[in-house]
Amino acid sequence: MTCDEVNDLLGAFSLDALPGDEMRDVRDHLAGCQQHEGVQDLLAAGRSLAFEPEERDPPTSLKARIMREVHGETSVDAAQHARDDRGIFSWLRPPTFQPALIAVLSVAVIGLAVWVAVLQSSTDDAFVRTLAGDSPAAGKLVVVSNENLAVLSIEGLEPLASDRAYQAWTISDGVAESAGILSVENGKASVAFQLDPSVVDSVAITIEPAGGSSRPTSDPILAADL
Amino acid sequence: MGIRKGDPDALEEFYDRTSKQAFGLAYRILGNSASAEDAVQEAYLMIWRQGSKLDPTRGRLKSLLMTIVHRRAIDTLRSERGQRAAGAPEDLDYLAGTSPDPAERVALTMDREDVRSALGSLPADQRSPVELAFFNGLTHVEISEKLGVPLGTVKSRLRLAMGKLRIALGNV
Repeated sequence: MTCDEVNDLLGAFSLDALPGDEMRDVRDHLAGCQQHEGVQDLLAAGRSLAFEPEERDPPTSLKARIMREVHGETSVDAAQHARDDRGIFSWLRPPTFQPALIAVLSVAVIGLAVWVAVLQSSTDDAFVRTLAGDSPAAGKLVVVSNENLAVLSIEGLEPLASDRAYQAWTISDGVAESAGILSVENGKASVAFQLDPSVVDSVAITIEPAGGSSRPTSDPILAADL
Repeated sequence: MGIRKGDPDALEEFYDRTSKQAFGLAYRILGNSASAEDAVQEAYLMIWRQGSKLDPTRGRLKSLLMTIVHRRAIDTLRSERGQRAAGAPEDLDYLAGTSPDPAERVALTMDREDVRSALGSLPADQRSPVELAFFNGLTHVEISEKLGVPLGTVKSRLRLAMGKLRIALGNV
């Protein structure tokens, strides 16, 4: 694309009014060309139009929904920070420690190879589910019933584009709630989250826009019923 | 603490301060409360989840929120029309662009009337394609078909209109 062709499209570009391929072509050209002064101001003028509509009161339930999600993620983050600081089992209260339970939970760290061996060790307070789906990845979910906690461990995850992320969900009565965005290293990821097995029907993994979604926007690549 | 540090109270304060404008924008684009709520919710959660990347400047954060709400709402519109979304990266690094910019000045110092006045100052044949692009999510080809004018004319009107808006908003 030449500079003249790009100049011709700058108005539409600043309003995101080009088809995807033309948007990319213009963006690529601007990234490597110094001949288009004032483009950032033009883009900003386009963004300013967002302030034109009349203010409108959102329903009060919207704030409650957002903050519920925020507080839920905060508690999961806190559990993960505590685990990072003091070890994988630090979020379990000491009286609940049981050898079999520890063995089951250890697999989240040790890896999938030992999962089968520890399945026999499940106690009344913990159980394991295998995630299945149209993905080369393999996943296991350990649920600690009396703590309402779960550890999800997956390996074989394929690399995603930078604008995509794997996200875990709990599904209750057909309603999905985020269980966290997976941080993938070498195809492996694990995440701990709150899960009440008397309420949650299943757990699923989807591919979402980076940063996560408030509800799944694609079909699960892996899922397990509880 | 703040949103960057993962403080829920900071997000709540930010929501209280900005949600009417965010919801107004989403509702203007989508025309119904349920879809507008989804767009707004996703925008706040995106800011919350990528908070560590945020610039702490208040105006910048509000400008960023409005950009995300707009993007989400337009993606929803296009999806309902069976079109693919624009496909731009869903990442704050990209959406934030560079700084400072007029949108931040709008967030900090201007009110809605300034933007409305700037848009209203455009001739109707230039304002209409701008509104169809920004609030209806139409591409230049779709605008050409809808208005029944050649594509080259639409490109030209959009370029002229945005040049005028850049000057008008930059001088406020």
